[in-house]
Amino acid sequence: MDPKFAAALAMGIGSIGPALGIGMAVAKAMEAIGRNPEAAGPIQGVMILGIGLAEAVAIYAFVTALAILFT
Amino acid sequence: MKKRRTLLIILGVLVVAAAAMYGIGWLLFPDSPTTVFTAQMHIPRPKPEVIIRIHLGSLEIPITNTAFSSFFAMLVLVIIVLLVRRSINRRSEEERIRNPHGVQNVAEWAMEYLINLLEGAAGTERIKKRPLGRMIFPLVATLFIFIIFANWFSLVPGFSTIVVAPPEAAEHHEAVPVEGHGDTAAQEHETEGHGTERVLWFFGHGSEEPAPLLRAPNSHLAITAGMAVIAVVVVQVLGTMKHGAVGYLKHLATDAPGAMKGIMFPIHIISELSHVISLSARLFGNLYGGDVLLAVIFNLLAPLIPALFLGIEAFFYYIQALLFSVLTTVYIAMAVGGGHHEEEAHAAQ
Repeated sequence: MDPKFAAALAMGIGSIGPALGIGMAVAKAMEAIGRNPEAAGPIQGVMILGIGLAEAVAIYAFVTALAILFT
Repeated sequence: MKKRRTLLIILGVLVVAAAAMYGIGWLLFPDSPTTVFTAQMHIPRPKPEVIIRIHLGSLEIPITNTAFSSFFAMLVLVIIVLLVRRSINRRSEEERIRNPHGVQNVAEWAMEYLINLLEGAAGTERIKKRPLGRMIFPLVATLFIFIIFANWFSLVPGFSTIVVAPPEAAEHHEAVPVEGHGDTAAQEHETEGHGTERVLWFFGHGSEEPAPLLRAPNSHLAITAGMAVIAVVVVQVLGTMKHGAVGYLKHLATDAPGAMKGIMFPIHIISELSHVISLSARLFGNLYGGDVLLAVIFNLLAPLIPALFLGIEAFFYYIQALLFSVLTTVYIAMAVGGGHHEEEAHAAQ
């Protein structure tokens, strides 16, 4: 079996979770801003932080795919 | 109509730029002038290429292109800081305080942004009677400034496109077989002579494929891992400073809500190790993935559309710098926190 197939699977399946997570985070942030438009600044800040953390999991999948492809 | 005129002007500039590019292409490559419209970018490998080798006797110091770029970025940062400092020191004390102007204004805005960020993330923790945000500001602000500057520097044209021929490793010289053939022995002596005469090997014989001279420093896992290790070690040191050695171990074991007290110790140890991996892998993945994305996009699409991706990557690189420093601050705040029982004891006295 071609190792490139495993790398493709790793990246593909591994980005389902983070995509859902980021979507949920942004949805909740938008809801919160809708309820309290004055707190938009802090909410945005925390949202960006949460998005960065969720994206890290997709990056783990990416690094795994790299490890499969290049070593 | 003003809108129509601006549109026509923009269109005119684009047409002139395309014509100029075609003209330069015709001058440089007369038989295939459209070469300048295609960028043959080098898609980077995860392991960076060595471009300089320093031979000191039997010791060899290889310098990768990422390390070289990080030295270059640091040099530019130092020069910028010295220039800013000189231009601020020119004004008198009163002028500086009452009427901040120009460079001083920008520097003050940047520092205020950073300290507000850190004090917001650090909360109300105190360490050695000082607010935590101010105490860790030198380290975390340095991390932020270096990361964001190194990241954005890698979007400047010239990174990953200027290629050099990398020097051969010393093993290639030793790998020549020591057999009794006259010519091989002569070759071996000749290459050994090369290896021991020159101390600094730039741009070697070119037997390996060409390597870019400059590459985003954070696209090297070693550089991001170095910063992540420093951050996590500082977390442990500050936690020990606040709670004492035994107190910090107790803090790791019992800092949990309710019923989970006492069994959190191995979980905390593992989570500290995973902080190193997550900080370094996050930054590396974003930067290396960004490099690959930009190389592919420049290779596939027309000359103008990739500029959009440069902008997107600029935003994401800012987010990554922000995230690294805020997460470091949050980890420090969590390690230093939980001193509530000490504060209650002081308040009770």
